[in-house]
Amino acid sequence: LAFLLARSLSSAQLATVPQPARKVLDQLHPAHDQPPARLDLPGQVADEPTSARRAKMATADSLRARKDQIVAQFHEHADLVRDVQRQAIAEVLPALRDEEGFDEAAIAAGEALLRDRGACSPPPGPILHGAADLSPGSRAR
Amino acid sequence: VTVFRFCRRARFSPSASLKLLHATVHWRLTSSLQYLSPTTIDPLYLDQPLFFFHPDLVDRFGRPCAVLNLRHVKRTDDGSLDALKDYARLGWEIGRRYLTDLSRQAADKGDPKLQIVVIVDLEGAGMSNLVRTASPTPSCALRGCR
Repeated sequence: LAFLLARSLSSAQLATVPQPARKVLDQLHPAHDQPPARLDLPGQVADEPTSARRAKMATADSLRARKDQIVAQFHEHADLVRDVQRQAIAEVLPALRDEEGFDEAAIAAGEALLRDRGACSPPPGPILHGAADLSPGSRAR
Repeated sequence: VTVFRFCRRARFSPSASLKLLHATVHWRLTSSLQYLSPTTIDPLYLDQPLFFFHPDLVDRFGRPCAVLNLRHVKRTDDGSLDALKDYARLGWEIGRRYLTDLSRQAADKGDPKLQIVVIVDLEGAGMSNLVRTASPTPSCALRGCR
């Protein structure tokens, strides 16, 4: 994981990584911005079995290809996803209410998940930003 | 974004996606995930930053990064890991919501945020920390996010 990160973070962004983590990255891959020694073809990465993917060395290009493919799938399957979302709200939630006897508050929480509501505003404390002081000498480092 | 991740995991099969969503919503409601908040978490895990996101910490592709400091993996005074499991569940849930927020904000630019990077900091972590970390965690909270 650290190796993949070393490949995917730019130098400026790497500077914000806590010192202990950065030391690990430096040991694993000192030249973060060097071109990768091996390039995976973009199409090869995403649809291969997980075991085959793990056996390969990830590169910045392969990580970018994987990320771009997921974004492309997001746009390509937008209609299908909306249909599944509508169907889940119409069928899954009533089924759970009937089968498990969940109350309206629980069903509302399930609907919030399916509709992507209830997001992080205001920020919910220390796990998001709060205790994460990345300055030198902070405990986060 | 949440439903998309489940659809992707199900290889965009609507029936398989609905099964996954059914199982996940059932798990979330029976585990009372919606009632977890920083105020319900043992301060042991909040005083020392075991797991956190930071808005400045993104990779070169703009994906948000979380940091997991394994040296801060500890048992509570009663010797159990229950509080740690709650913390892990809350952490991933906040990650899901954070990703949803970022994706919504970036939607106009056509570059939704669909993945999270987790940096695992091993410095100062012993084998006991690793064993504790291997205890069951609700990976389904972010299922399909990898």
